Amino acid sequence: MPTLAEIQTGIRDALVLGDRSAVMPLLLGGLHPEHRLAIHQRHYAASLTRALVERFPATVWLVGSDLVTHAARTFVRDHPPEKPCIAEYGEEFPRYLGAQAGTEALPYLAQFAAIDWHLGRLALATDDSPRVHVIHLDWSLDELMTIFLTENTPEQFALRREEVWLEMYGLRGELRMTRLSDEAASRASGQTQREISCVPS
Amino acid sequence: MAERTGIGLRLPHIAEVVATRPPVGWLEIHPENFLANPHAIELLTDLARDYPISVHTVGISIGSADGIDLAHLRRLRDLVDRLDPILVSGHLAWSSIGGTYLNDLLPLPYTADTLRLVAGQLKRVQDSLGRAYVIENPSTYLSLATSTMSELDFLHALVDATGCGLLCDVSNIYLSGHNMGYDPYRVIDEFPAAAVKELHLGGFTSEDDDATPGATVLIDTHAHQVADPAWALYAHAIGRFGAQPTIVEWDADLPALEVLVGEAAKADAVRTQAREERHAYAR
Ligand SMILES: [Fe+2]
Repeated sequence: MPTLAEIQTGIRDALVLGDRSAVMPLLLGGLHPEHRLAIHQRHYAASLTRALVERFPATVWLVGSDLVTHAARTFVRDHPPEKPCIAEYGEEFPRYLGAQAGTEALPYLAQFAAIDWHLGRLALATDDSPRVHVIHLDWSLDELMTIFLTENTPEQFALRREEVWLEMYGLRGELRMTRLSDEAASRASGQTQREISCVPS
Repeated sequence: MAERTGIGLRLPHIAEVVATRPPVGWLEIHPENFLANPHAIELLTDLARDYPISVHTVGISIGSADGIDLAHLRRLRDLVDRLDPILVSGHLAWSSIGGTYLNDLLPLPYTADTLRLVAGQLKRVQDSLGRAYVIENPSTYLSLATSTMSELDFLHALVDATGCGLLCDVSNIYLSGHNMGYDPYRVIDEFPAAAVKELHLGGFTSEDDDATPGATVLIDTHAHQVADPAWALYAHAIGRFGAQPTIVEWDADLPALEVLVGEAAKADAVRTQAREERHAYAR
């Protein structure tokens, strides 16, 4: 008789990887229980894909929901959640998205999605939680993000390749971004890893 | 304990609930939606001054073969200490294995081994929280062929082994009875009534059952109003359990807050009528 751990590992493999082989002989439900298992499989993929897409609104605005949704679908298979707070799921998604086939023309995509990630966290901050994150950028993506946040779209926008240390601040839904001076940036780069995020280009 | 029916409080409604203080008896939250959201915790702490709060976890995974996630349990304990809820509850199910969290409430095989595991992990959770952890009957589409007892027998055995309280989700009983082919009224009649601390009602979605051509399967989406047969079963449950504190759950395709408040008012009306009928029989 299979152990509980074997049953649960079999169900995990079915939900995450689509491999039902180990668990199918153990399931009861209707005449064809594989269709009942499919209810759980669909829930896993759909709920997490939706959570990720909703977590990156600026990224969806920039590249469209098709690209983000497609990447999210494979991300939930390749990087399943490890913790029960789904709002914390997806920190690795910017890097993953930026490595997708078809994004070669968008070398700044991972860094833009990383700003999106940090602003999403900071929007929920209070006086009792971290309110400042600092990120290193290789493009003027703060200007692009400002267009998204203010819904103030110029006639033309040119992204410049430049080094930016961006300080992001949030408190109860209010967000602010400030470029750090060279001096402040060198201080920032000495801070703890937790608050500094460097996404390789 | 809350006399009026309460609602499941979801993040999109929280600002309106803070601003308007709707006429519901209490509020139930999923801590997993709040733990990563300090602003929402702040608002909830404010609401806790006016409403009794219940903390209903979806992430504790009491049936995981590889143990309770202690880091998550610590975060839960900190939130519980802050809110001082009237109830803390979770599901007879599992959600994580081998460090992967599956974002679902998955079925357990009902065996003596599972009973030992769940009873031990329940004790661990209760010891850590320093308070009772109430167990909810799951919604079911599948069962395990290795089970040696029914869900109902398992719940009785768990109550006998641990003295735990139960959260009876009436909609889950209706849905599971439909999906697995048993009589939901019999389950209410044979449920461990003395252990019941809370009732749940939630909306489900009916789909064609690919597993049984020509039949339907009910999916526990919490995306609709409570269906008529679940209201009828709720009235029957009140007749059996008395006027237990009740929560109406709605999680997906959230309606306007007033619709949810209306569902809670409907539960109050159904409960009042069921109690009057019960007393009429008693006379
Ligand atoms: Fe429930």
